[in-house]
Amino acid sequence: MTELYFIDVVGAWIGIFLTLCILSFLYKDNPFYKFAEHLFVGVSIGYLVSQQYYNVMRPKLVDELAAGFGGGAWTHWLALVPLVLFLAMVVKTVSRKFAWVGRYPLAFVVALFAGLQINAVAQAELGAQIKRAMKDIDTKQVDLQTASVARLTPLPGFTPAIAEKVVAARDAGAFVPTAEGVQALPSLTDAERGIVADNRGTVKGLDAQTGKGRYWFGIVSNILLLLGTLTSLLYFYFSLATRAWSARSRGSACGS
Amino acid sequence: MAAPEPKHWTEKLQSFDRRWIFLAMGFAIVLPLLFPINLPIKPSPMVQAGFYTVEALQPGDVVFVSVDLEPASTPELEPYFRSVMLQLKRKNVKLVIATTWYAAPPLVERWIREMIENPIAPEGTPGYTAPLDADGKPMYDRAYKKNEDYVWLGFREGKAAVISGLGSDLRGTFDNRAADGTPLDAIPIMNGKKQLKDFKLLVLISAGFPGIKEYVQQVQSRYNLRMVGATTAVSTTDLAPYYQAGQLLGLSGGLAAAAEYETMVGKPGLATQAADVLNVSHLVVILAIVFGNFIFFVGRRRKARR
Repeated sequence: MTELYFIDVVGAWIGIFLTLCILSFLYKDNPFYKFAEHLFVGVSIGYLVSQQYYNVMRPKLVDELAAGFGGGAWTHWLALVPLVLFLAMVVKTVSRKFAWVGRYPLAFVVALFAGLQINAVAQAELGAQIKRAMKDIDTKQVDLQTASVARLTPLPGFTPAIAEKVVAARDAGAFVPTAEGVQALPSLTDAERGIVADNRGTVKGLDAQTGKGRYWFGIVSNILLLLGTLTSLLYFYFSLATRAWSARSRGSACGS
Repeated sequence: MAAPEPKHWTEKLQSFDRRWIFLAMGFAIVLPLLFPINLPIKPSPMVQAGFYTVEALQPGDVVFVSVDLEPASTPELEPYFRSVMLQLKRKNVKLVIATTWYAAPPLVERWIREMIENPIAPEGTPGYTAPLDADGKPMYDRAYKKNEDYVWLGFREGKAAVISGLGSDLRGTFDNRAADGTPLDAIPIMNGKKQLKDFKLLVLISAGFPGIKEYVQQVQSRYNLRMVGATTAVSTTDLAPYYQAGQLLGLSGGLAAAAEYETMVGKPGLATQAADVLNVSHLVVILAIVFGNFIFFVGRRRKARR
């Protein structure tokens, strides 16, 4: 067992004492609770300020400007841009007359994150997720005799290691291309053989998904998914249209 | 004056003191901790996928570890961190560690001292059998040396913008130096590591924003990165679609999944102990629901008869 440092032991005891102080509020408000509450707020703010200074302000602003004053490259002076934006933000809090200045840093931050998110969501959420959802309804079984490691790995009971062992055995000509053959592969460990055995099955397990024919559970699932999607779209389309039509009808009835 | 009719047992039970349920839940939590019952743990496909992705790494590979959490999430995420670190260290994989949460550095620094600079399961650890390497020798983890076997980059503010920056220019984001000030150029394992795509794998331990979701959005799709992760139970449903779409190669969600990961790594720990607690406490909740419904329906039937 790892030996604890003395400072960690002391910290743990202080933490236990302060936790009990906070829990004492269950009895009623008391000086111990107040002490722990004020300490927590103070330490939190102090910690946050020190973290922001040493990890952001100093390397990104203070050191950069110091390098600029020290005769470094002109790019160090770019640190003035966030400084100006920061000062503009401060103006917003100290002067009502010039509060409008504070809108510029806010606009900068909003635009920056909007730009980041639009690109990210379009690629990661729309692109990748739609690509995954758009599959052929006619799902084929995976042919163990020809499939690559990448194609084998998503099969139930397969891991990258098992897929590689299957391909190696296949290349060596010592492999029966069935689920039974995978389970009986001599190069598998007992744990891997157990995983394969747990994932066998003729409905949606490994037996159902391997071979040269169709994977019927997958086909039925895809048809249900398609029907569900179409039904939802139709429901929302017609309910919105009906609502709009009803509203128009009511409007014209009132008008007449 | 007629004596009031005695209450039927269903009426009595419908109005019994709910603190008895609290007491039963208290026992359901404390007793399995004191007397483990070791219920079987079966790893789920998402956890297995994550484990085997890490297992496929080779000695000397360098992985990027992002620990984005705060103390409140440690009960759920520390067991996974401990297990994955043991798995990485016994394979002699080098680590580059960073965080995008300001509350994380003291926690991560403690974990580095406890689990990286010290062996997690050295030879002779009770209840632990090290896996064998290709030569049949047991693989034990060892004490890692700072800036030799691992690098601690520290924290940078900026959330999603920082993650985007790590994807394009990791060195620029951390001003070309580790948290202790050592220039990254002077650290051998950082040779050729300029952006996230230069790492064999990203291991993400994430309690919320920014975390796995932002890594997928900002850098995974753009640079086609290999990533596995662990998150809290409440975030699992939010992140599971990324696993199903192949954007995440494995996902460990919550304490139950951490117990599954410990089982796969072969070193039971806090999560395995807590799995008993989860199972027993869930059983108490289910029994309470069944019992409550039984009382309610029997009582209603009796009223209808009268």
